[in-house]
Amino acid sequence: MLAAYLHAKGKKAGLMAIIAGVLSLSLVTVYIVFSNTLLDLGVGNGLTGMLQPFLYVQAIAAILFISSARSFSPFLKFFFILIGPALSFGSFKYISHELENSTFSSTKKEKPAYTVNADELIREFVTGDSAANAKYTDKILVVNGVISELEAVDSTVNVKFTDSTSGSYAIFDFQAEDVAAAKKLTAGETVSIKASCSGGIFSRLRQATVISFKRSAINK
Amino acid sequence: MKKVFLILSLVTVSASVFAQVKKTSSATVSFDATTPKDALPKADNKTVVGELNTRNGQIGFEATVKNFAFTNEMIQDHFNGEKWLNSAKFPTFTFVGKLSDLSKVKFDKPGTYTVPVSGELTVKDVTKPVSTNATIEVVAGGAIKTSASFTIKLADYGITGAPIDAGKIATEPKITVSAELK
Repeated sequence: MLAAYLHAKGKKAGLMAIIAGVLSLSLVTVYIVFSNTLLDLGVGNGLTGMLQPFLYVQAIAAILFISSARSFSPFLKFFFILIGPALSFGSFKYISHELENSTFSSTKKEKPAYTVNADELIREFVTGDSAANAKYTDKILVVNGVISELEAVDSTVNVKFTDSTSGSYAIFDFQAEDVAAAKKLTAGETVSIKASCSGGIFSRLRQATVISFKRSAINK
Repeated sequence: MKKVFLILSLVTVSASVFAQVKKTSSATVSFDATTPKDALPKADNKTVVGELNTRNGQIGFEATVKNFAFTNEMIQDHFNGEKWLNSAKFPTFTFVGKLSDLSKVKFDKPGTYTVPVSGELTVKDVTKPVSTNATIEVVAGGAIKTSASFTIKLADYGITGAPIDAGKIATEPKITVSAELK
């Protein structure tokens, strides 16, 4: 609009036209790549069918807008036509790649939401599992306690803190970098573990509450 | 669901009465829904509760859905999300079944056996029959190592969606169970 206003007033509007054209072509590119993503996810029947007529009009208008900028050489105009879509497509690809290949960082680096004693944690789940699940599930916890049992799993080991009265327990499987340290632990040892809490369930097999943790790390 | 709880309770009660039960809190269940288009949807749960009654062959497993550990955070969120496993509402997978041809297995003597196992798998409150072959390895000291693999149809459990239709997630993921019961 600014470019059109300047043009109507007989003032130089070339730069404004270029900016408007580049932004407009970037928007068209974003629309196309997201439509393509939807297609990958099974929405829609084909890319051409998903693109609305206004999109073609906008793309053509943007190219004409850039072409009408008189103060730039044909080579620069061609460059400006390409730069918006190229940057948009490149950014989209980069962000997609980062999201699809991101892995969980080491639990050691995570900040814990709570630090709790194992016996108290188990008691909290046994006396009110709904409230405890709402409070702890999907949170990083530091749990301190005395190991009741170590169970071998494939080439790794799980650590258990068990309430001897109810048979309820908290169990921890370890992230790869902490497996070697976990294997050196022994039953009866006091330990501090930082881990991601997966919540507690009432086990029909055990007739007890089972609180599971994943990606655990030895805290100290 | 009540039926599943009843059977699980029976497994436990019969196990305690006859003291022939082998247990673990650390069975592993692997979920593999990878496709040529996407190698990310796979995870392990290493804190699965398991029991085997060597007297009558009854076997049971319980897995906390949220404890399946994916390498990719986005996939793990999708797995637990409302449209997929909805782990907030349905926090466990359960399997209850029975080993057939139990007479083939000498639980008092080290050896490896392959026996049919059949039972019912409950996911999202939907129970479906499952049958496969299980490998039973009786090791010195009385421990029993078991492993079995089977596939499930996600649609059978009401799990559908665009990523499955687009071939980014297998329609029939492979489930592998392994456990050392003591």
